[in-house]
Amino acid sequence: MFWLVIVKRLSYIVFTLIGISILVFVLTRVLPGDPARLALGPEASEEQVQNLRHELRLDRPLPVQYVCFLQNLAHGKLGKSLVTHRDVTKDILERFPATLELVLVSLGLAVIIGVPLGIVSALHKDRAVDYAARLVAFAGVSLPRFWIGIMLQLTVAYKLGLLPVTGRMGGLPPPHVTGMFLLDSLIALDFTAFGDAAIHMILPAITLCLSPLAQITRMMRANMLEQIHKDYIVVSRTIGMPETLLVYKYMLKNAFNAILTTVGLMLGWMLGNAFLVEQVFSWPGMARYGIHSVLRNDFNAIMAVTLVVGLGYLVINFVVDLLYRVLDPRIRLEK
Amino acid sequence: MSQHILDIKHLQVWFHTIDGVAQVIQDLELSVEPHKTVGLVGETGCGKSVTAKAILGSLSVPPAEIKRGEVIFWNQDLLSLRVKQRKQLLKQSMSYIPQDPMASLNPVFTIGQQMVDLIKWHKYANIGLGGLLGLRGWTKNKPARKTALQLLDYVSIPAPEKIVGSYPIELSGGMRQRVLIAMALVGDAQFLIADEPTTALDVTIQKGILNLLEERIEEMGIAILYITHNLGVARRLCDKICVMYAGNVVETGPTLELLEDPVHPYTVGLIDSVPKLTKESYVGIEGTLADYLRPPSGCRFHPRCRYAEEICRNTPPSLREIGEHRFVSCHMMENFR
Amino acid sequence: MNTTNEQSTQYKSGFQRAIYRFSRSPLSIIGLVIILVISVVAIFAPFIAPYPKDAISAVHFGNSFQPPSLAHLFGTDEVGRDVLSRVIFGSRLSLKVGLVVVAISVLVGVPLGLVAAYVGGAWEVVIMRMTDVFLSIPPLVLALAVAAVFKPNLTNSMLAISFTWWPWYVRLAYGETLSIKEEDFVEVCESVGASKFHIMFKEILPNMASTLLVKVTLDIGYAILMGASLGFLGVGAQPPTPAWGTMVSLGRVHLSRAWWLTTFPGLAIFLTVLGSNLFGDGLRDLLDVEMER
Repeated sequence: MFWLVIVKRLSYIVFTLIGISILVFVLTRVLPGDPARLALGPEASEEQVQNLRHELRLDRPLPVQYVCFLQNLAHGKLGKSLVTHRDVTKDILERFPATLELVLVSLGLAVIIGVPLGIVSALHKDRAVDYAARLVAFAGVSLPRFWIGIMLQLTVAYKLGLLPVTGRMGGLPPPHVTGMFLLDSLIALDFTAFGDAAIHMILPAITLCLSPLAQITRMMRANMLEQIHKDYIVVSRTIGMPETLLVYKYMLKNAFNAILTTVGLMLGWMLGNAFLVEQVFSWPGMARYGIHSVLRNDFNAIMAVTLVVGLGYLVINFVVDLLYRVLDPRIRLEK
Repeated sequence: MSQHILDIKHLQVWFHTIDGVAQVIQDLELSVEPHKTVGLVGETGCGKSVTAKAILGSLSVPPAEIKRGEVIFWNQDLLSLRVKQRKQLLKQSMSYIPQDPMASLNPVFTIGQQMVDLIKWHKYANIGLGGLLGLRGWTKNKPARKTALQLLDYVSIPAPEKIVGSYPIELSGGMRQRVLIAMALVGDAQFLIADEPTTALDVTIQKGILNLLEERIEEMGIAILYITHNLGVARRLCDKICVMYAGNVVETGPTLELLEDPVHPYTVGLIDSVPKLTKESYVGIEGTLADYLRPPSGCRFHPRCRYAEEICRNTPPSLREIGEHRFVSCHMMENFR
Repeated sequence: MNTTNEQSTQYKSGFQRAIYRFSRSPLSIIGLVIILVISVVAIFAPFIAPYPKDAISAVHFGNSFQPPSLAHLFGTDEVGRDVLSRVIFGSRLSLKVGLVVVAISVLVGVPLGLVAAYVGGAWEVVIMRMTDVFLSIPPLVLALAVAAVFKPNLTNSMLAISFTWWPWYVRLAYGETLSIKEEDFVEVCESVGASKFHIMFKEILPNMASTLLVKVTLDIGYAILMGASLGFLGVGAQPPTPAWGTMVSLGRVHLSRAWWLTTFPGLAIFLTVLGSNLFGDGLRDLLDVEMER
């Protein structure tokens, strides 16, 4: 029974990916502006442009193009970027760890700060702490990411000179293991590099974590408040069980399960949406690469980035679903 | 009077709502003797649960307000105690069986985990973080678990080993209710409040639970305040019945006596409206339940009472002793006794 | 024989309770105030802005890069235009984006969701799968892609954002319809022979109105935010149109010497979205309470 569920989900992922690929394929081919011309620049001769078009199979009907695309995909080839002139897969592999690292740190911050904040907010409902936390939460979702990033750069980095303005590292990156500098520098026991990478991470991570932080805080608060009135909590309190036990064990477990799915979803979402932050802080990540590809109609790159992000999103959804089954006995045991 | 384990005197509870003040409990008087089962009987909305909550101290104080009264438990007025003292007293001597077995158990923990937590908290003074988290090394886990199994057995649950590892959702309603009863018995309380424990169950399951209760109550000698709207259940389990209407106890008496020879017009109406095989037609009670926002003046039952006179409209009656352990709250009772 | 208190209790009406609860929440009131202020500013922009001509075309090279002062509360930009006036006019553009995007999404998404849930069958499969596909693509990427297809300007960016927004309304309507259609009154209508159309739009739709209203209020803010993000990336309204996002992006170039160019437009975006959030949240609390009754 369980395996059936997995198979169903996996096939669903595949179908959705196919759907995404078709959508992006059509969009990119339909875009006005000749990709070949864009790639070669205005000086290239008409003949050169036509050659490139033929090479890219742009002169064939759309369905044929799509089939070729699928064939290439089956061989693991996603084509070359029209901008960097390298294999798109290579481009992405280079940049993916940067985005992943940023996203993980931001999400980690959001959870570490957001969960306790939400709990405290719920327990002290309508008092000063609650209002402060709620205001922070509202601000977090309302602040335009690009703007607050710039503001932070202006104040903390530029005017006060406390942190670097842009970039991932000041000096040399640590030897490549995962591509995530914080991790790699720890593995290599290079603490200077670690400090360097960490300092560069601070502002971008703070900027990126604000929105998920706000959402997590609100959700924890709402869930805990809901728990307070649940019968099993009321009964336990009536027979006098200590409040500490109640809060930190009984209410928390129920409330936390609910946000787990959302946190997973946020992870997938952030992978694709970190580019505003990457743009402002010149962070060499995949999201920024994706946006630049779109702006230049570098369709192989666009397709690749979309597929990677789409796949990541779907896989994370899937994992979160499974996790939810494990954690919540009600779902697991419901026939 | 100090031989009562619980003695409620002149309790008045108001609720502040958006629409005004709901004067739910007007002037409630009720007592429970040690080792006896007292039934608190009344229709839905008469204030039974509010009374239970007032005793247990679980009324949310805004919006509720205890205007006056005493809740004397083991010669101490619970209402005048500080929260900590009260909690301490309750932990040692009072317990509670809630109404809805589905909602009263935490769905994400196993029965065993919940029971062990409860047992640990009751029996061991400083359970500390290790105890709270149920860490494996913590020494008292084993005896706590043993106690849990014993209790589950005591409430006639088959295969307690299996139940201990199950989640609430895996158990039937009847099982869950037994678990709740078992949990109420942790801690050797001398007084138990049972809030309509069988209302949410099927009639056939009810029977099993009632059998169980009957047996165990006998064995344990525990005093119980049994809240129900079902006269049949009250008849079966209770030594004494208190009939409640619109926030007051209107009649009190030993079970059989009260049921066979009711005095208060409400009690009479209540008993008369129970369907019997031998009866041909049924008489309900005219009128509807009092509106607590604008309760009737004087005796709260007077709008529905065929014997009502001027005095009933003006002055609220109070419980008067009319026989051994018999109390009735009515101005007109001499006229029809 | 029987006398009762003749006066029945005066229960407060639903509306009165709603107002009472809303007024208890200072945050919601702040949200409402912000929204009202911004709406007024947008509507009366030409009368409120101190230098209305600066909003589009005027240039005063001599006056460029003036820091905030009494004459120019938000300072002036690189061609000497008054930033305050531009921000004020920018509110019109932002509100337009928010309202249009949400309107389109509702008009397209809600019927689709209703049909998918109520009619079911092949309709359901097709509509929901399509929705899933759209939802799996990072919204900004999708919006960008679409915006890049056509010339970058305000209208096209609005259309692009709507393109990514409607699936959320399909989902919402779908979920709501699934639960509402199980209610008794729907069964009654069906047995009486009401047409599917009637049931969907005259019976089920009003029941999801409050949920929809809350989402709409919140979404207006988020749509404005996305519009500003597109503007920042260069695919929204183009200069000299005083769109807030575009202004932030252009001002960034001069950040070190003229911080006010990015600060104030960004602040405006923030406050607008904040207002929509606070108000929407208050609305949600209010309507939840109503639904409890």
